[in-house]
Amino acid sequence: MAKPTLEIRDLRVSIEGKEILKGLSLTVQGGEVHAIMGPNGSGKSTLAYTLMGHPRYVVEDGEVLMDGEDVLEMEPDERARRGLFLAFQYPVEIPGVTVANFLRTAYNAIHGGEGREIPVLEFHKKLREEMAALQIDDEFAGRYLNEGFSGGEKKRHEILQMAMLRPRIAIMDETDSGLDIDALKIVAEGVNRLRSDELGVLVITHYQRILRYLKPDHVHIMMDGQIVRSGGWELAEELEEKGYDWLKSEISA
Amino acid sequence: MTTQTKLDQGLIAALSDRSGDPAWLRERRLAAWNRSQELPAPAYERTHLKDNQFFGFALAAPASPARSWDELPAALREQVGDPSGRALVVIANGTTVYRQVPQGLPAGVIVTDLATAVREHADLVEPRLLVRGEQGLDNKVAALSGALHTGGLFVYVPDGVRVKVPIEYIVWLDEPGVAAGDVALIVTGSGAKVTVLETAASAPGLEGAARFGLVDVFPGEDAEVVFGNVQALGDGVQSLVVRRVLPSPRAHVDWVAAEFGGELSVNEMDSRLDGRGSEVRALGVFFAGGRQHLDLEMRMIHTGRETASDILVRGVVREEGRAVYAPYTLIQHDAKDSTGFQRGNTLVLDPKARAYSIPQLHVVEDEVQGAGHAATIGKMDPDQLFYLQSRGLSEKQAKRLLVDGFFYPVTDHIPVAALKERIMAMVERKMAT
Repeated sequence: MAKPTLEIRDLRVSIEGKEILKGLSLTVQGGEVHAIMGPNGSGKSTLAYTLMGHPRYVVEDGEVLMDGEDVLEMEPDERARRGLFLAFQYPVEIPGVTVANFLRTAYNAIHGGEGREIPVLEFHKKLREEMAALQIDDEFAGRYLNEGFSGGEKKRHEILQMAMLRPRIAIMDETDSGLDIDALKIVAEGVNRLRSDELGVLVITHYQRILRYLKPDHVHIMMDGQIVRSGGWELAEELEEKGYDWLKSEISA
Repeated sequence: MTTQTKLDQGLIAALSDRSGDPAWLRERRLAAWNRSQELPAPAYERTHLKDNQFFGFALAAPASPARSWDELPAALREQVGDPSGRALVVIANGTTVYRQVPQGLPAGVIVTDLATAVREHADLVEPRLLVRGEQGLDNKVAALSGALHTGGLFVYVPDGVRVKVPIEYIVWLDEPGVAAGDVALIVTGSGAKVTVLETAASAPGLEGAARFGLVDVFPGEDAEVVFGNVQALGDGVQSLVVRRVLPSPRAHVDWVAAEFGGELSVNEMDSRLDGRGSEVRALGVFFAGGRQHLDLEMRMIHTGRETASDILVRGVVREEGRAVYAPYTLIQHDAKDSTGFQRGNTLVLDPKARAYSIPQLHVVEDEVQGAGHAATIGKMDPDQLFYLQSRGLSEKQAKRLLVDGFFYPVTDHIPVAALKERIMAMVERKMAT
């Protein structure tokens, strides 16, 4: 399959009449890891939800293209079938639906198609392998989706889904929040293992610590609904050292 | 074919002649008819029944039993599935049309149609049919079912006998405009164990027919009884059924009620926990769509000491469907050390669907072990939907998964695998339409 490309052009998004994204542009390609850093309230999560198609976010202007096709016209499930994936900051709990049942349904929705479902045994073998890689216990497959999961389990479960569904563009919305250092390493290794020319990653984070493990090729700083600065790894380091206030004064100067 | 358009006493007398009632049954049938005339419609909070909904029907024509399975109507056979190896009593439009009992039922166990039981087992039937302790026929639906019944089920399990295979009671309707009455009587000795599964269904497109049903269960001491019903009638059919249990001391009863069909359906389940240490657990599932009106009335009346009741119900309403969940628990004075709990949740899928939740809990006795109730009515969570859709599931798939998951806390507790499968298959069918 060809290298995926996600192009965001001058995107403007509002929630309940309030403009949150104010003209944001960014291109992510297969093989690349982009980090978007920004303080709370800068619109990072709005970007993540908008790209995945949450109905609460209203696109006022701009374009999002995946491999040249208009993503904004698609329902969330169609976006997922094209290879877009969002690792949620706050994965929702769904009682009564088991991880295995859900993942098999999702896998078939994306990769199976009518009459080409993955055989149940093959699916479970695959699931066990991916769970082992993320140091997730076997009994996890029979648990209800996110119900009673610890913060770390929820995030690992998001990465498990990413590993199973093999997206082409993955957006990770503050996957590092609430993780201790061991869990953070497991999650980061899980993502690194998936890296290839057929996967582009957009990591959204407040802190720089997950970036140490993911080593992004591009770092973007987001403030007030726009990308205010882009650079390489050194930009993240500079930000860590000087803080967001430094950047704010730089910009307003 | 039908000749009359309204039920009256003359028809009931003729029905008694036709059924060959012995004198005692004729007397009780006519008394039941008179009670059905005198009694007001049951005071259901959100289901108001009019006179026409009791008496505005004709009697079904007499039918003769099928000599073999293959003689039964195709639509009925399709509904029931492969009969081999099963214990079945099938009634159509109120008349028993088919009965089969597998080899190897334990000695002394009786599974037959009610009319046969009246003739052959009067000693067991007469003390319990259309009488119920001092209560008598205190309910209009029960009285009318008793007056109208031509067919029905009789099950008897002697002391200490455990019946492994579920006994199935199939209630079928395919004649438009008629009222069909049926009575099921289930009696067990002490320490006995039995499962009875009732399925109600109707021919596709049937209009204006009504079922009046009465189920009376008498578990002996320490008996274990499961009674499950799946109501899958067509949406042009009315169903008014009263199911009652009077457990002896330490008996354990599992009620499972699943209401899917009917234009108007009231399932009233009355448990009189009189036997000391008796327990009744009621599980309920309902799903109202289209213009259906479903009402699940569960009553737990504790009069005996150390009795326990538990009600767990989940239901879905969609389109213009309406559903009523009305549990009622009463712990009477002297029912010391009893417990009574209720939990009910309804999921509303569409803006015009309506759900009513009317839990009532009355604790008269001071010394109880525990009592409580919880009821919620909610919508599908848009964030749950979005989460599933973001993983590639279509809106329809996501909703199906969420509805399955919603029912899970109830379906997971259903003690009979075959019943659980049927109920889950009905949920699937409702979601697929």
